[in-house]
Amino acid sequence: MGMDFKLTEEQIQIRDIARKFAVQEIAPLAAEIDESSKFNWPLHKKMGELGLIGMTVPEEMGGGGLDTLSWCLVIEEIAKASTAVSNYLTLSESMLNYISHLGSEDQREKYLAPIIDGELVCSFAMTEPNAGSDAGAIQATAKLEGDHYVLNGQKMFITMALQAGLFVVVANVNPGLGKDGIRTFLVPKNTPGLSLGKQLDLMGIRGTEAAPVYLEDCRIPKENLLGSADGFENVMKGMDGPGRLGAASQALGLAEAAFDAAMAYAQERSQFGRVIYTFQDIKFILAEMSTEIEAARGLICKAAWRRDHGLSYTKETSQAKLFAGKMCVRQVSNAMQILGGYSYSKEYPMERFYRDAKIHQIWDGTDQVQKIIIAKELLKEMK
Amino acid sequence: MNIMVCIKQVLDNASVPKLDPATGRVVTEGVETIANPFDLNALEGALRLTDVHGGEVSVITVGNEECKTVLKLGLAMGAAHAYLVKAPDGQEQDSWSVSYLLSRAITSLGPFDLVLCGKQAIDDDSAQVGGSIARLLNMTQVTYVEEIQEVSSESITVKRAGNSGSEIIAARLPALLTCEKSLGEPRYPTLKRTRMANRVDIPALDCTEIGADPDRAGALVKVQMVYAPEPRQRGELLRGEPEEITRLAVARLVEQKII
Amino acid sequence: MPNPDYQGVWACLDQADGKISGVSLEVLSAARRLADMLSVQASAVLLGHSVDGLAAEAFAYGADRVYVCDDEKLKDYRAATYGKALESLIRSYRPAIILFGATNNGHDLASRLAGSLGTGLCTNCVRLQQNEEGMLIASRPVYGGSLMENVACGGARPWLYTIHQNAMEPLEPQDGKTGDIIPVKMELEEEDACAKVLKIIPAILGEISLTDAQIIVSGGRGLGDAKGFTLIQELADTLHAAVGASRAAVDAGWIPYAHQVGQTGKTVSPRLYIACGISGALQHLAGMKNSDVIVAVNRDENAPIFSAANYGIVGDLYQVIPVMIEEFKKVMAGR
Repeated sequence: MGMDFKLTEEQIQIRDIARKFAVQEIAPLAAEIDESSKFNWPLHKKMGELGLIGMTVPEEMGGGGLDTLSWCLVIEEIAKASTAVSNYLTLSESMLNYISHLGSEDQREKYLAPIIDGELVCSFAMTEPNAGSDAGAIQATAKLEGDHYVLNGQKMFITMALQAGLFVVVANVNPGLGKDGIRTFLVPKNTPGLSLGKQLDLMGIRGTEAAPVYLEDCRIPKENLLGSADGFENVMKGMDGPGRLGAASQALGLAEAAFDAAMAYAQERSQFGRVIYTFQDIKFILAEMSTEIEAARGLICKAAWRRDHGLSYTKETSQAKLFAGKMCVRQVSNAMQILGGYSYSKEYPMERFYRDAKIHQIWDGTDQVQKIIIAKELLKEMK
Repeated sequence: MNIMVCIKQVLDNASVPKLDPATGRVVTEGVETIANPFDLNALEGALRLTDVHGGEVSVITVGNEECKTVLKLGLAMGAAHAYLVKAPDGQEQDSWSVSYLLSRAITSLGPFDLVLCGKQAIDDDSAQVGGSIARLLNMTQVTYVEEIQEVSSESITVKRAGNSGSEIIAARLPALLTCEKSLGEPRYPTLKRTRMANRVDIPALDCTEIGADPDRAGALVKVQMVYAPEPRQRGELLRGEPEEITRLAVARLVEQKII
Repeated sequence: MPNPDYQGVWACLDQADGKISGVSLEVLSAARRLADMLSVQASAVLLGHSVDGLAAEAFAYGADRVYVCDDEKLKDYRAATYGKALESLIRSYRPAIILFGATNNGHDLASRLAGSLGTGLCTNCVRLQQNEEGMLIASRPVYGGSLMENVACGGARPWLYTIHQNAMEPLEPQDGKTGDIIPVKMELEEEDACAKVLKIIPAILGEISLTDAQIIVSGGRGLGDAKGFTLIQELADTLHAAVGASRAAVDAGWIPYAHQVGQTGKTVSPRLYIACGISGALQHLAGMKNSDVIVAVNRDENAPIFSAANYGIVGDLYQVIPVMIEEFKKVMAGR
């Protein structure tokens, strides 16, 4: 009896709260959020009130003090209704993880509560025109001048930048040191020298209001340095949160939404005098979809379980993210095949699912980056 | 202001209840349960009152240990206290006995300014417990409350769905109200309160503790049989030109003197 | 076992604005039939102010006797005063069975009495019959109409029943029939009421209440927006019908909750129910499937509503309803 696949009663309760909220509050707005491409503050605040933001932040810091698995279950449910809205949660959790791990007491005091309450959005300003997954290539600079750092640089694709009140900016204090000069800084939105570009017109995850962030002689007090000045490794530790498993759970949720729609449709729709589910071509697709969805769930749960038990989870997380992302794109495509013409109409959510799916092979480390990480971990295991 | 809200655990209405052919009763084993929706509207109404006027909301139910689930939900939504009333062993329950047990329990736990119930439970659709409790407790009784308008230390003004329209009623406290859905969509339980509720040790009160006579706490109305109503015959499906099929349908209604 | 101390069947009548309500005539007719079945007398109870003129109608619908409690303090229905008056009547005259209308006031009063008398109450009865052993069996819908149950009262008398609207046909009135009128004087104090009716907001003029309606036209999600209900209202007006709605339409904020038909709304059983753009979720079906005739309009021919419909029109409601209005207008004009 070494293995137990049962969720605890509490995990089920938490999942069910998220499920109900997703079905009743988010799903009816999902199409509108997608079409308008607007961040939905009322939903974000309600999720804060419910306690869905900061679930994995320790209780003594005002968070939920919950396990990674509970959080993954919530992300999965929210993502079934809207990938964009689920991204509000994953980004917030990552930033909270960053600040709670690296932040000084003052910084935690000041910023954790408003983010957890859903009053403040914090964005992550790392990606640059020439630096995405390769953090070492970051060109933004932070120069210490007396009591201040002066930041300069350009950040790209910054999710929720237009609604953020706070940015975690990644910059280099000494470009000569390469990646060892990388530091992170807390930069409030109204800091002179920080400006935002035009909202990106994205294919999917619309409603996340991503935009470029420009830093021009942006002066911030020295205390806004996040984490000690110890360098790159420390910065990376801040990123070692549950975020990537959340991304995998988002892919899982979206795949499930597509599957649910296809399954329901296959049982309602009749062609040639038969319900189409009775055709082998259709039911085999559904059988396979369901199998792959379960496989992704297994990988995610295992990685979450390892994290919750203090075991290494880097490889498992990347495996889960890699598999779930690819799987999601396949399943949405399969579901479209079953729905046929209906799936192509904007009247139904499937075309949104299709546009939302591809991001799962791109963000939070592309498939290729995940493979690099997995391969690196494999090599470590050999040693 | 102190408010008691009575909650009933009912079968989840997402699916049609199944009949056990052997017993002629509804299958309850292994079926999902929920809190009676109207009771949650009542709870929401109570919480809104204490949000504004202060005081505490308590929740109570009659049943077995499993019924603690609805009490935990009540706590997770914002109730401060929860009580389970254990029905005496071997006694079948009906609206009367539940009213009796609740009235005794409320007396022993009170005083309360208000007692709130849903207008009816969605399983037996009886609409009976609220009025009976009110009489047993000699409380002012207002049923089918659509809206709470004003509260003072002595009275409450509500809008009630009467037989020939809505009535605005000023009722003396303490009062028992049964509540319509319009009293408020139940708030979501927060994660924090949900987990807190899991750790609360909910007291289970028996007849002695609430001063009830176990011999009176049995059903007066006995169920003889439960059965499915005659299924409706599937009728005629009309397809084609909208105008044509509509005229056809109207003609059928006229032919059969339905119009 | 019949208790010889308690005799006869009573019908407790609802009245408003000098008229006995429709459901009360059904209740009285049911009391008459039940009294005949049990070979006892049927009596009517009239509580209110200036109600003595209504006794004639009660006799016409089958009462052998009418108890009239006329008191200024009974002008408005209130649980405490009506309850007190009826309790005292019961203790004096000891009926074996009392029937009420399954209305809000009927349930309010009956449940209060059940509490004070400690006797059995069966609500929403659609049938009252004796079985082979002479037990009085009440049939009532449960689970929003998904199931039926047969129940029997035991223990002390009187037994209380509320009678579902449109379930028991009223008798043909026999004009000129008379009987005993028993005026009853009550010692009621305004203090007893504990509640004051400050204002009555009558249902909007011309608006027919869902539970009384013979015909209901309902709209659902398929309407697309709140404006769709203008069309539903127009069809309802043409047919002198009430307007109903599915939960989806109510939740979307297109129409007030008072119009919701279904398990968490109202259970209805009109002669004709026209469902427009309603897919037919379980909870909705449970609340309307006892309608005599159901007409459903829906674009999706697989919609579950069609399984309950006598006539299913597969099509866009915005094309169908205008034609319906036009056709029904012709029919109504011919009357």
